[in-house]
Amino acid sequence: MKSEKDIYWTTVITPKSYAKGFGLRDVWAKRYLIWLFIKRDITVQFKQTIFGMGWYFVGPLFSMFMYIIVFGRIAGIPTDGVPQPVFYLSGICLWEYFSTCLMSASRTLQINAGIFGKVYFPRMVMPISMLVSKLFRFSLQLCTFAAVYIFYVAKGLELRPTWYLLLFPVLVFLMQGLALGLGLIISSLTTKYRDLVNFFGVFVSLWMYATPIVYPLSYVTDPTLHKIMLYNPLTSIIETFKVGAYGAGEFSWTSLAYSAGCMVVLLMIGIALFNRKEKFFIDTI
Amino acid sequence: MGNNIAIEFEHVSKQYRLGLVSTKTLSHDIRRFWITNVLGKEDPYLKIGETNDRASKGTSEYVWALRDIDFKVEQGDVVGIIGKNGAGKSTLLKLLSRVTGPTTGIIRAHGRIGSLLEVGTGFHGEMTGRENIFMNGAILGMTRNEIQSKLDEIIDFSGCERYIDTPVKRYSSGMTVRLGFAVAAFLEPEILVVDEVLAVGDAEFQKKASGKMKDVKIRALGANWGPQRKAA
Repeated sequence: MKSEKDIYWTTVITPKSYAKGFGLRDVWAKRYLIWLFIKRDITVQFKQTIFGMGWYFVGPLFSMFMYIIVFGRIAGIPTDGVPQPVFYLSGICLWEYFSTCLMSASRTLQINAGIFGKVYFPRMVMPISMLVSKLFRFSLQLCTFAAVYIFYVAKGLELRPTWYLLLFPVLVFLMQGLALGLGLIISSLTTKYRDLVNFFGVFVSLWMYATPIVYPLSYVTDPTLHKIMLYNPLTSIIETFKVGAYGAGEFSWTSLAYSAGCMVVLLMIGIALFNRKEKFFIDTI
Repeated sequence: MGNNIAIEFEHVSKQYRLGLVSTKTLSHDIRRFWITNVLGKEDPYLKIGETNDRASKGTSEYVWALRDIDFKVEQGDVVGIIGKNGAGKSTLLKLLSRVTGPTTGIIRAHGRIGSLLEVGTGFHGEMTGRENIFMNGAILGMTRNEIQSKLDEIIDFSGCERYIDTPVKRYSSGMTVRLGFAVAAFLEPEILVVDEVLAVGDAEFQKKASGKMKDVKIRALGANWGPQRKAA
């Protein structure tokens, strides 16, 4: 029961007042601030580079050449009958988006300690705006992918997108949710134990090899290993995109639903942990 | 209970840990967890804190920046907090601004809190003065319409009109601070929390700033505001 006294106060600060309902309403109220941070992030990214936007177009090509040499030529890993550049680029674009989102979400509290120490607004505003501003770079990288794709189609190769490509927005949403959830968990844990940052850095770079980026899932013939691969929530996202873009890969609604389930669980844990930490992290950072 | 109280502190305490936080914390946490959750005893680290005296060497790693603070501020009051360096003035204002939480106690407030612990929070050198006004205003809690409607006044008050579409990195440090203060001056909250930010700009601007503060006839709480006050 709320007494008359409680209604009078508009702000009550106690050692344990956690945000109600995950604090998402407070975040939504700050959507204009989120928009401004998105704009700031995008503007700043371009004003400080020599090549400006060009860099984002060319970046994935470097990785692509390296993968062709190492995984294509030296290791001789097949690419599901798809030209190597197209195959590698599709994986690179998605993985880069996911990993940059994850890395920036996981460093939220550390990077923004300056602002957070001076003014209060829901801290989750920062990682959420990052997810959106990184979309910009992602879309430029997808342009590179599209250009290479069209080049091969023009050369007369049988590359056809399938209807599954319509799931693309869902895939992006799943990647964002997974990156945010896991990023918030990491961010909460690393406010006190900084050495965990190094651990997660290694973890993320190894995670790429546990995801079908440089090899097709069909190449994993060992049934046990194949099953284990599907426990990685990113596997189905990458495979669905490959099926959608050029019809090579494995698609199943079950594994996509599994990824969505992972996202919900990680998001809930991440937001709960983050809300607990958000109040006192500035003392320990 | 009178219904004209704006701010109320009830047994508010704040404990900080001294020294390097990054060492030994895992073991401390395990010990704390063991004692409080397994043995069911009181948290040892909350007990051994001692009074905050910056000059003498303490025996504990923990220190109380604030201990058992109780006070009330009525609507319309302008309250200044004075004290030595390290007395806990800024800590008190940080608690009220929700930048960090209290260790014990309850703080209650009636009205929208605008907090000014620093001028120009969120300013980015690559963005223009105008863009930074929007950024800073939104960070301080203004809505888009509020900023839009006060934009001309803010620019005029800052006296940076000529440079308003220039990136802030080209500004002199004084100009940056003036712009930051100008945004804050039009924040118009019901409770304004100010921490030593009025000692900015040149003499002319300080006069303007103090004048603006006098206009703010609302509940206000500030620490060490204005160099004139401090000197008095």
